Amino acid sequence: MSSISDKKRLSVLSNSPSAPASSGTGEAARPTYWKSLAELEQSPEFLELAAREFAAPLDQEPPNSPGRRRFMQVMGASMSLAGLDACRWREDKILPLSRRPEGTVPGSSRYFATAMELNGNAVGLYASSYDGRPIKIEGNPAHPDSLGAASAYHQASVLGLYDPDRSDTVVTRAGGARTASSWAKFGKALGELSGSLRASGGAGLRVLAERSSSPALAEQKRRLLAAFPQAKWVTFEPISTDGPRAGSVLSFGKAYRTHYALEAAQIIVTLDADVVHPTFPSGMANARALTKNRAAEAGEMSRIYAIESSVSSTGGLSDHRLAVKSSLIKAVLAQLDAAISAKANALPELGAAQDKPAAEFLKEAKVAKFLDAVAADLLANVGKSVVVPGQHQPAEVHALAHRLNAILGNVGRTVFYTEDELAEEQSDVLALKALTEELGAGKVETLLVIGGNPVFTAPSDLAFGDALAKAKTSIHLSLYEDETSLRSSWHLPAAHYLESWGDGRAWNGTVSIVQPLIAPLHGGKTALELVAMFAGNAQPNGLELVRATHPELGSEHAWRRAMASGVLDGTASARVEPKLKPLGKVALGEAELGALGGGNGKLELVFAIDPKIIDGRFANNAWLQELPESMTKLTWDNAVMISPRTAKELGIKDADSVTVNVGNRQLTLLALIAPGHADGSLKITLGHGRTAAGHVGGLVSESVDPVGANAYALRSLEAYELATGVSVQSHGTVSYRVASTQDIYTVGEIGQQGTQERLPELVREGTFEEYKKNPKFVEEVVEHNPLLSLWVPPVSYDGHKWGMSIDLNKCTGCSACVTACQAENNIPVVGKENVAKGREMLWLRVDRYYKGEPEDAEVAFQPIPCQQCENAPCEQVCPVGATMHSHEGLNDMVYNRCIGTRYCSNNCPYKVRRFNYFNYNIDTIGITPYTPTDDPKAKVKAMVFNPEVTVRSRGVMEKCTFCVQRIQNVKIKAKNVKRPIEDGEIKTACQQTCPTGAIVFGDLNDGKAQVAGLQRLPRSYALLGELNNKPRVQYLARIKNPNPALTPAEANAEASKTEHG
Amino acid sequence: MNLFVFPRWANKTRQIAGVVLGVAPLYLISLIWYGASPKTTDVGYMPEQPVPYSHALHAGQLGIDCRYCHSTVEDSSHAAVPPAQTCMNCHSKIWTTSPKLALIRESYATGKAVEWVKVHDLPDYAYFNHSAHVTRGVGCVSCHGRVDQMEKVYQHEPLSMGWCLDCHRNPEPNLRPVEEVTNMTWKAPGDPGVFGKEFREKNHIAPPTDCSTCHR
Repeated sequence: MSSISDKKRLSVLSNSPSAPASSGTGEAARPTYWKSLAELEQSPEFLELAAREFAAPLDQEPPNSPGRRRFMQVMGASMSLAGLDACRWREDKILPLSRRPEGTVPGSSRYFATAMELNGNAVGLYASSYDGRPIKIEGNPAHPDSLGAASAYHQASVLGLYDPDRSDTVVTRAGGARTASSWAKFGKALGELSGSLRASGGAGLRVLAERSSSPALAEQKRRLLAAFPQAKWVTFEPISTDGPRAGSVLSFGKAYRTHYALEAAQIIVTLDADVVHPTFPSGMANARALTKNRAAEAGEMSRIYAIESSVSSTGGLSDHRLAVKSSLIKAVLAQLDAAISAKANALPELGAAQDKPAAEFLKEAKVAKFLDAVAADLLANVGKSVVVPGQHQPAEVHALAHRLNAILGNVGRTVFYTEDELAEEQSDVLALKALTEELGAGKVETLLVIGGNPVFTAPSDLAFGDALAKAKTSIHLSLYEDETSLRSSWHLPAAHYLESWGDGRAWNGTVSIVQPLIAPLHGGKTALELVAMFAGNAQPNGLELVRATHPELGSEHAWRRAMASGVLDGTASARVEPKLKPLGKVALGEAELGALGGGNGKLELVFAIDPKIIDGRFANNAWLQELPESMTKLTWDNAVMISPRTAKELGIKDADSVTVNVGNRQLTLLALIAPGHADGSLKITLGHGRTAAGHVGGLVSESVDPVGANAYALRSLEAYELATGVSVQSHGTVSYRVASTQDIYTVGEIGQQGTQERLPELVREGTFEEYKKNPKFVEEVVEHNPLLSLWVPPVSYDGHKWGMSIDLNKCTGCSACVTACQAENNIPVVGKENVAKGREMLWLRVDRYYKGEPEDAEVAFQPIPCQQCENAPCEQVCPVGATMHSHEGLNDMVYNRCIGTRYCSNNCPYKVRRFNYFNYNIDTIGITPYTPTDDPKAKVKAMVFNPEVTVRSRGVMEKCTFCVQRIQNVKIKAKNVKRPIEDGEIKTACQQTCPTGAIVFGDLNDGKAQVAGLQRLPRSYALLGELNNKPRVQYLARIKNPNPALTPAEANAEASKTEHG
Repeated sequence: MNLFVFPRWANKTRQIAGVVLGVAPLYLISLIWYGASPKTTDVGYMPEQPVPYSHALHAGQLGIDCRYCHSTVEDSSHAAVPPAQTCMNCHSKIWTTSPKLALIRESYATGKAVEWVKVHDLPDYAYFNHSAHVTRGVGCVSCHGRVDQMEKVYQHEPLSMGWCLDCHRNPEPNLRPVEEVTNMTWKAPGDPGVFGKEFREKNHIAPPTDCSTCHR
């Protein structure tokens, strides 16, 4: 194990063909992994960071703290007060229910099935109720889009419920003056309003609503439109589905929904489609299906090709990735169509093949070779392949994909179509445009805006906010008093979905009932109730409205069954086999035929949905803001992503401040050089830069700066999904920094060298061919002497022996596990300032490594919880016994003993211990879990805490416990009735929410347990196992299934070298 | 100028000082040790309750089983304080106008909770589970004392970590047949040590002493 020389590191950097030539040392057989470009380039900033033991100069003051002297004064006062009630702590009260409902057991969690709707798709969830408070969200295993998983934003929605910034009163605005009002007054005003509207048949009434699949809401909408026949209902959602819908109309003459059976596909080709991301229709179920046949043990593996502009989760999983601009995808598909139609079974009824596009980039050797290999693989797997286009791609791309899937015989095997229940109700940016014009012409007297935040999310050239002000009465129902509320004459507080009765449909049409876990905290009403009020129901009752919509659930028995299971059986939309119409020659514009890269004026800008805060609706959710984004590891920010080569050409350095120009619109933000990003393409995620989100996401009226930059400012009707002809100017380095978690665990030069050497041992990867030849190649990555211990193990582990297995082949990096862990374990939010100083508190982190050249970087994810070592280095250095070994092999952390020496963290080879530098809950977010408070906002915030887990204080070390509270509760329950614990009965929070089942937890002493079986697999390995610390977490090596035709000859040679070496 | 000269008896202070310096720290330590121990500070804690409910009357004289009111004790971590509804099961028929029960009637009518004061209050970082103890044969009396004789409930045991661990390390003296857990006067037949040992072996009772048993 000689060290990687600087020469080698630099050669990778300079992208010179001589890089593999340095293999003479016998070292080069190892792939080079790296965490960030700064590390790879050894930038001065990075070296400075690495040289310091702590990421930032240590300061002693908590964020926004009073000074030290003030602190002493306050403390002095409270010490003298404390003396008075001396020896006993505060008196606690017990408040029993006056009548306890049947089955309610105080001090225990019960789960209720409900559903959360986003962009017209309802995902079935289980929400826990602890003494009447929703605490934790889990997926509903019976729901087709969840299958037991919940994404980060589902998990974080419970924090949104207790957000003190939520609106709690009806508000009227006139001429900028805000007056608090009430529902009663609104009811009165509505009475007068509907009188005049009724007279005109609702001619001046317009409803602007979020997309919703709720049958109950559809019924109320029908009634409203029946009462006001002249009224119009417009649906607008910033996450457009216009492309797929128009594509289906183009192909079949009608809007159908496309479903993919990815588990049945051998060859998966994604075209700018992050098919496994929770924001993709049925994304979590797709993730499970896609990773199903990625286990090398089965003897057969699918192969994934991702052709995309920025590295998506799917691109990370893929075996081959081609980075091309989003605008070139159409030409790529036309090329594939031309190549495949010529050779596939002729289907004359589908029309002629596309012409080979005369695009420059298709002639590039790299692209041509890639597409030839894809076409050959697709042809070799007729009926067992699938072509998936991205949701934001235009109609022709979807039509071409429908055609290709038909030609390849995939329809009915890996691709299915169903009726689209929302076919008539799709949002259309053109409908919003028409509404804006009507508003501008003064034709709209009353505008009812149901949910959404159109003033913020509408294309900037519509100037929707100004148009909105022209309506005589504008009413906005929303959770927060947001940008749209500030422009409306009425703001109505909405009920959170955990406070609502409702229903909604899954992507395949299956209906779920939304049932409330708690009465509305702030007197909010649902969209359903508000529309019913407009339709003439003065006192609408959500439950009755929902029940009336589902007469088939009339009997109490049927209703309760539907409540319990969370899904209504047999409500999925009918499968259809639509007839494909012949597709004419697809027209390709100038930008769509361009070259691969592009300088200023020829760049494209992709407007992407933010994976965390979506379209901005979760901007005030601190869990999501602080969650490191899976690829960039950015927290509390967004940036314009740019490829390394394009950045170099334009003279842009990482974290430079840049101005992006789209036509005459400009936006200045930080640049983020993203390895693997397509040359000539820029990407900014939408939803950041909120000015009226709240105290977390930005509230200009109270001097809380917006988080990130608002990309909607660049979006226009013309440039909606992507803009072309974009240019960028750099302003050089500025003092503003982004807070990224990718480099914060870098330690010194020696540490860095060690990390570099060890990275290929930490993330073990191989190809399917290698694996078939030598299944034990994983073990051979590290050579070490026999592991001997100086002492006899003090614990025999003859009861339970908890262990975990994490399959790197299945991890998509989605980070749902991280938020699940945060929700389950009361992990505090520390804020951007502290994240930048390396003080993030998340117990579970998902490490992301790049491999290879920055331009074509491959990505590997590795979730790192506490490894629960049997020979734990942390335990041996604690001077006060605050971290102790349990008889089941857990490294118990005893907060009340910890004095904060941080020796344990120093000695931890995995850096999984987190230290409370401040009393984050109180100092940062003002929650006082144990101290009585009269502040109603703090009281509401404190409701989110999981009572099963101690809330830690300042100066205490904390870390993953394998969810010991879940272990204890199941153990006690099983032992109470003297039965053994079943395998899979205890699920850690991260395991339960993982969409792909990559994390498996269980008892290693139970030979039949799934985790024991997985740890016996030849590709199972321990992280740093050669240190003999015997970690209980083991990883399953990542096996890729590359196409031999695309594997570089050198790499093949290297691979064979590895075998011999 | 007269020089100050120590009187002769002052010579003795050197000998006394040795004794004082030796004994005083011991005295102080034992004072704090005893004075600040849960035995002194917590045992006997008897707060006023909003409703003068007498366990001595209900559990003692009337012989109502503990689980009639604390019904969740066998299934949950909490031995829940009963809802007003439970009181009203009887008190809608007897003592229906008693002023002592006014709060209970009010709670039953309005849904407003009666604010009982917690007597047995563990620190928030300690997690105790009632069901894990009563289903293993640890009687109520072991931790709560003779509640059936308490007019007003008070803390009978220190509930300190050392006290918990004493029993977790040697549970035998506190074990009894599961059906006798609420019996306040149960005595082991024969030698208590022998019964406990047999019962423990028969039921595989192995109380863990890991930190995460109670702290999480």
